[in-house]
Amino acid sequence: MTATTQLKVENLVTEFVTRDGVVRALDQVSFELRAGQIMGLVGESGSGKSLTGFSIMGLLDAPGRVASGRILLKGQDLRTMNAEQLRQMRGNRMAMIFQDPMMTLNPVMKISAQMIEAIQAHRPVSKQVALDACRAALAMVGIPSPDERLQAYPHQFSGGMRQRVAIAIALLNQPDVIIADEPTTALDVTIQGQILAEVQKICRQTGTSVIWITHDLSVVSGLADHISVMYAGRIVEQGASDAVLANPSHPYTRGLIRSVPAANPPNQPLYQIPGMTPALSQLPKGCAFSPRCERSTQACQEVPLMTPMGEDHIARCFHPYREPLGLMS
Amino acid sequence: MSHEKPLLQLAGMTKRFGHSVDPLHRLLNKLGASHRDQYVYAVNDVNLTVSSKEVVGLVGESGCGKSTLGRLAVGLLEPDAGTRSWRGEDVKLMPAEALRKTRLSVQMIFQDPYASLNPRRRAVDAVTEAPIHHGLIAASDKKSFAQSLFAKVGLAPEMMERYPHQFSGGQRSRLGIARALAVNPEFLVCDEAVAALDVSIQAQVLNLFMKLRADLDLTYLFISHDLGVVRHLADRVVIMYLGRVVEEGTGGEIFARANHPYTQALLAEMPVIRLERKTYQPVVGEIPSPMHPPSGCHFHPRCPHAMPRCTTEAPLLREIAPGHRSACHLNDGS
Amino acid sequence: MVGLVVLVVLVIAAIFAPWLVPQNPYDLAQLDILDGRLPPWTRSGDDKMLFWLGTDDQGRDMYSAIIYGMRISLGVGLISTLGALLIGMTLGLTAAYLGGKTDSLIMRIVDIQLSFPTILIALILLAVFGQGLSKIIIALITVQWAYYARTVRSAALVEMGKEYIEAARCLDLSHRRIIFAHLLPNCMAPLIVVAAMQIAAAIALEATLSFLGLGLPITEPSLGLLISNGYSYLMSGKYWISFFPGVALLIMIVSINLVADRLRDILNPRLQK
Repeated sequence: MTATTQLKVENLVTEFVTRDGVVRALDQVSFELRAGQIMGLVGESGSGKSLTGFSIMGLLDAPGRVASGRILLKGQDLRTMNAEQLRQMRGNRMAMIFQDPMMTLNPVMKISAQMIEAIQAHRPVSKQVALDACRAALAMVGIPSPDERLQAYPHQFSGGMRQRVAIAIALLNQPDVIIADEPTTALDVTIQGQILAEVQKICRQTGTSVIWITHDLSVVSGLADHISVMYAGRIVEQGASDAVLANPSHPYTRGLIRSVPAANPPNQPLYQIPGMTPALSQLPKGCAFSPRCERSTQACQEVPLMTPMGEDHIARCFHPYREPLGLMS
Repeated sequence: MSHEKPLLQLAGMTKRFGHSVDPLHRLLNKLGASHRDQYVYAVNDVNLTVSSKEVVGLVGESGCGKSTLGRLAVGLLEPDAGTRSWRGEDVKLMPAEALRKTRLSVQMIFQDPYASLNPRRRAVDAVTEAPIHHGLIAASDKKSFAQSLFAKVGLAPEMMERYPHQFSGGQRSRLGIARALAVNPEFLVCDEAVAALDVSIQAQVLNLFMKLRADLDLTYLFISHDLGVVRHLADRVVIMYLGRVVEEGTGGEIFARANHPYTQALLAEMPVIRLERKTYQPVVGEIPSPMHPPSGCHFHPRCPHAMPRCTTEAPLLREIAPGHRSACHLNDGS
Repeated sequence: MVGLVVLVVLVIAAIFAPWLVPQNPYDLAQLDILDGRLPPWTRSGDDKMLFWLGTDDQGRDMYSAIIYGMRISLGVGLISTLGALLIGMTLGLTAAYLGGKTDSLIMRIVDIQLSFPTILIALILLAVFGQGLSKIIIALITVQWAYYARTVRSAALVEMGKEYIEAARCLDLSHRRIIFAHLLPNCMAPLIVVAAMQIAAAIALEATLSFLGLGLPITEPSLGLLISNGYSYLMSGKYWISFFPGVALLIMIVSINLVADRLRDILNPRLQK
């Protein structure tokens, strides 16, 4: 597997122009994704994780807009492209999978029609060639008897199947990057396991990179090579999964891991992070987590820069933890 | 841990949805067609007993019937067969006054913190409506009652006059809990009450549940698909699949010595933060539609240990260890 | 915005009609048939009044007749809409809440009612019961309630699936309380929009009935009757007897529709939440 960089996001800033002023929803988001790598983008509601995906794909609607930063897909800056060029990129070099597969699938079109459309929008091939590609894609996501499935409508599928079809559509044009926005959150755990298995297999085989957006730390821990943790529009910790999970440096990451029931002795009160996530229009000055942090000091009135915590591990904190958490085996 | 006497008992509970063949199709049947009754057995001959001050976790995936069973337990749905008993008395035989008290003693906490509150009612009204309606408090005591309830669930009293959309998700959950507590229930059925919450808020609300259990001597039926949460809270665990109970036992037994293949599959997929990448070896197959459940043991199409017997004969729940029951033909061997 | 301003002006004019007009068009004693069919901006025979918009064939000042006519139209429209709203709302909510056979029964009646043309039913009712203001209102209510019942039933069915209704049942609240305190307030939005638009439809229907001669008596002319009276004069050049009431009716209905449209836009984003 080559170590080429597929996607590099540098200092991405996304803003929303509201009646009460300009709200910065994403602030200096940066990460790098190599071929065949899976990056978990982890955060709770209001952290900006889905917004990151939309900003990269260029799917932001007014009043939101990408204010600054670079999005380099294999060296090309997506922000310098016009609408037509972006349209050619989308669905072709980069694809997106959504939480609700009905958002991807048109309920009144057969699966075959939708898949062929996705192919023919980017490549001038005949219907027969397109159909073969569809069959191959469906087989890749583990859907048996693909010919039957191609003639069906979305409502004839279960949720897990629909999500697989959505993944298959994303794979049709062999994209460099797939952005998956909470694709298994609404699915049962046994079905989620199946989908995660398929995605793992596909990444290893085709070298496609995946950004897996989720709030579920356990999913990213099993699936992702790299993790970026977001809070209030900023990445607060980033690095190799093992490093981040074994030695969470940022107090928010540490608090999040400690709140999971599995990390607490049974029948004891769970560890809880005090306070609530701030609204993006009312962020505290400096570090957004400082009001809730037990280690905050006067220094935290400034926005911290990323500090290295180890090899392939950085955290945006003035007072990071340096000891391992010691919860996991 | 020994518990006190049974508080709620469900025996032989069956609930089906759908319709029988209508007269027109019955006529067509006589002429040779073969239309069948279209029933979905959401809950099929389920027994469940919850003892006083116990927390029972009810676990399963979509279509297993846990939400339906929860509503049967509360009395929101009427069963097609089976009995529901409160403190040993069949509710159908109760006199009206006792029945009314029973209804208020069993309350439900709902999953969706948005949809479970009337968007046009202020918080204080939502919480005090039922106790005033039933004469538990006087209308003049509304504000002070609401204040004490808010304090119990950790909501600031200033939020009283606000509307639900002005609360955050976690606060709405607390409001729903306050509303249920307003009628002094003894038994709470929590239907995926934390599923829609962020991890950090989930921790807060779960802590609240545990605190209320201790402070108010509450009993819980905790319905969830999240085994991690259930493991933390529950004394006993009941696992359902497609309308039937497949395994039940104490938390310790189930998590250490899961017997039924489906339970084992669920445990393998249980969310756990791990340090090496997992190689996923998931259960094959889709969850069957409850409209057409597989014959015999419902799980056999997906079971790695299926035998010919499993396709024809539905296994019965058998005690395999003290307090630990499982419905699997594999236990009959040896 | 324009619609709202115009509507407010019309409503105020209608309410304060007696003070705004020089002549009471219903008082036959004030009419002089010799003043009949005078074109706009003519003085009366006795030079006491200036007929701004001319007179009709009985010597009625058109301007006064129109203002009074608007009064009747708006009044009839409002009262019949309100009545139809109350009846339709109660039946629709009951059908949605109780479900089963009650629901089927009520909805079948609604379907039957809605499959007949409204004018036909109104004509039949008026033919049977005779003419008069109260009878027109009853006819309009009968014709309109079904639409509200259906609208509120769909909205109620959506709300019934939501958990706060289940929570109310869990708390053992009475059926009546659940229907009126929980279900109804959340179904009001589509009802208000429909009602606003239906006022215009009711006014138009009343005008049609009056035009056909089945509406109000000739001594209390509504706009429709005024139009009808002047109909035969259109060809002979005395356009004002039909024209001005027609314009007034048009302005009234358009302004109501504009306001109703705007109301729907205002209420809709909340519906979609």
